[in-house]
Amino acid sequence: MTAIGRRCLAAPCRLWVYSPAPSVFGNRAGFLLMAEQTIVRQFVRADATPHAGRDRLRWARWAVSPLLAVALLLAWHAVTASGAVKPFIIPPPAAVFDALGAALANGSLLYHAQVTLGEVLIGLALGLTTAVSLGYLLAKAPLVERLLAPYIVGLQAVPIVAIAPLFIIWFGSGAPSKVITCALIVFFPMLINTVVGVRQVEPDLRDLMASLDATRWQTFRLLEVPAAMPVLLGGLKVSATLSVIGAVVGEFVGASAGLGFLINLARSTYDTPLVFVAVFTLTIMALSLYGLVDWLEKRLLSWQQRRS
Amino acid sequence: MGRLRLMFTLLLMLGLLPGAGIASAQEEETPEPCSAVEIPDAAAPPTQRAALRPITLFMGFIPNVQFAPLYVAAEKGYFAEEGIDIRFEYGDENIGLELLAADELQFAVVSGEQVVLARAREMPVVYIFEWFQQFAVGVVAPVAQGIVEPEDMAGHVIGIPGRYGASWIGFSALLNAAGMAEGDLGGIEPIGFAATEAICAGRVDGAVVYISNEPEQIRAACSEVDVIPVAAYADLVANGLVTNERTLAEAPDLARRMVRAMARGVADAISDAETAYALSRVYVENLAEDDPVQMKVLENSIALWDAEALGYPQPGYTDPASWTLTMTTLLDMGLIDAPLDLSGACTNALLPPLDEAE
Repeated sequence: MTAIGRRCLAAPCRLWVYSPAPSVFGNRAGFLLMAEQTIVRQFVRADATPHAGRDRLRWARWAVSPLLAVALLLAWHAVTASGAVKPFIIPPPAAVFDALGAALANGSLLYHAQVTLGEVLIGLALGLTTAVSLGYLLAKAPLVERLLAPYIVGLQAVPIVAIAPLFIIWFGSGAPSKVITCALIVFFPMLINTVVGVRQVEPDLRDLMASLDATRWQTFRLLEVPAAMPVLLGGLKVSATLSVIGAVVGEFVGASAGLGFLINLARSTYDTPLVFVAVFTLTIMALSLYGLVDWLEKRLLSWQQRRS
Repeated sequence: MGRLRLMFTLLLMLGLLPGAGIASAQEEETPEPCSAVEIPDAAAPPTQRAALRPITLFMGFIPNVQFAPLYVAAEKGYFAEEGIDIRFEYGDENIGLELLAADELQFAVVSGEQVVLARAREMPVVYIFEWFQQFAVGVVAPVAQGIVEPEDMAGHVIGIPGRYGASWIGFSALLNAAGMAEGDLGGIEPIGFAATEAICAGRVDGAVVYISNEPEQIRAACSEVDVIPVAAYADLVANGLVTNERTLAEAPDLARRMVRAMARGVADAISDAETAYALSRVYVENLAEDDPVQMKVLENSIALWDAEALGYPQPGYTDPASWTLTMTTLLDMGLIDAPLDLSGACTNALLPPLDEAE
């Protein structure tokens, strides 16, 4: 297994690519081939689109989103310019751009965005680490899952907005209370995805690793992690987006900085354009985090594309 | 040198005099707050309507014994006598004021400085009845902290709900009136609306609160307290009844009847706190039959409503000077960019004649 382990590198499909000669593994070769078919069935996305169709799709993917944004902007302008909606309810785009310019010029937007991003990243790291560790444990130990599941589900059922004020009392009004709020909100989706990801590894592949005398570490590194990766990254996408909400909920309850605070401040002075600026900044932050995970997914799961 | 000095003096005069001229002209031109709200047929006698008109009154808090006058007016039928089928709605006061400005609502009970902030954004809202005759915000601290004057806050950590809203504005006005700055404090800690927990847990030395409510909660929970009312140092506009310009223009009689019903509720609550408490139980779900803390909250609130005891001309009267001070405070805090014409922001014209009110 040591030889295979080295050759397997990061992805299970490489078992086939680098499968050694039958003389080395004897009758295991046929089994490897069977395993490869299972792996391919499991991980490889079918992609039978012809080149022309693919080009059109690529063009559409790049063109439609900006066009949709422009259309929304025009509709927004039309609604506000018609006078049907008062500016303190929906401000005109120009007012929002002015507010954006002012917030950028005086540095407040960058400052508050930095504070929120810091809380988001630390909260995300804390929540993910805890969720993945516990999720792996639950996936491997059904007894532990039976013992802890009611508490974990119960924790998820507690409305964050209800306990966020308590975090201020317990952890202070600084970053820790926001980080914990953020970590809590990302915890559950990541935990569930970890359990599902680890559990969905094909028993045949586990048998294969066992038959090759793979150690626990090798099975974890060479089979479980790559096999669970698509599901884990799916969970990470959800968590990354939710983490922004988590930090803002914390800032809403009590803070002196951050985009949630900026929204509260703008709301209290009826500065609706500034509210829009802060909300758009949060949206961009969430989209960027999502995009980062998407990019990571493409990098880590590129073997799927290559196999196809 | 003498020529230079002369030139400098001339330049200074050229630079400053027009400015001074503009400034003095602005001072002269700025009308007095609450002086320009026109109420059509203000002198007309009240008209009774056969069918009750459903009116939603928005209140910027949760159901609470502090709203007792409104509950009294509703339960004693004062609103119904004025042709109003009153319904209460609770929530964030910013939302309430926005709904009011958009004419989705006709009346709301909000804090006075919110009206100034809203008018700065050209929201057509008008303050018509100052229910709390004094600004209800103050600083509360356990007796052991020795914070009895604003100057005593020096070096102490003070909790605030957040750097926005009536509490923050009141606290800033208090610091300003005492000649203090944030730097004189040991720190400012945003604690949301958990002042009781934060003080009792020792997380802060004092907190900015609504003085009729939280001090009693803290006394009951952990410690005897001292209270510094902002109103003792800065008379800001307090909570009151607000409507919009459209309602005043198209249904002034409705606004007048609303004010009258509310004034009767306030008067009754002041004269009979026990009945006010009992009637509040209809609306405040968890209000016990004989909760001494909540009764004390009501008594503290009554002390802030009692115009006669506080030396105001009549219940509901709003002092133009307090509007000017509120605006100046907001200007100093940078929450508004320029001085406002507040002549249309408020009015005393809808208050019932003194003999009728009595």
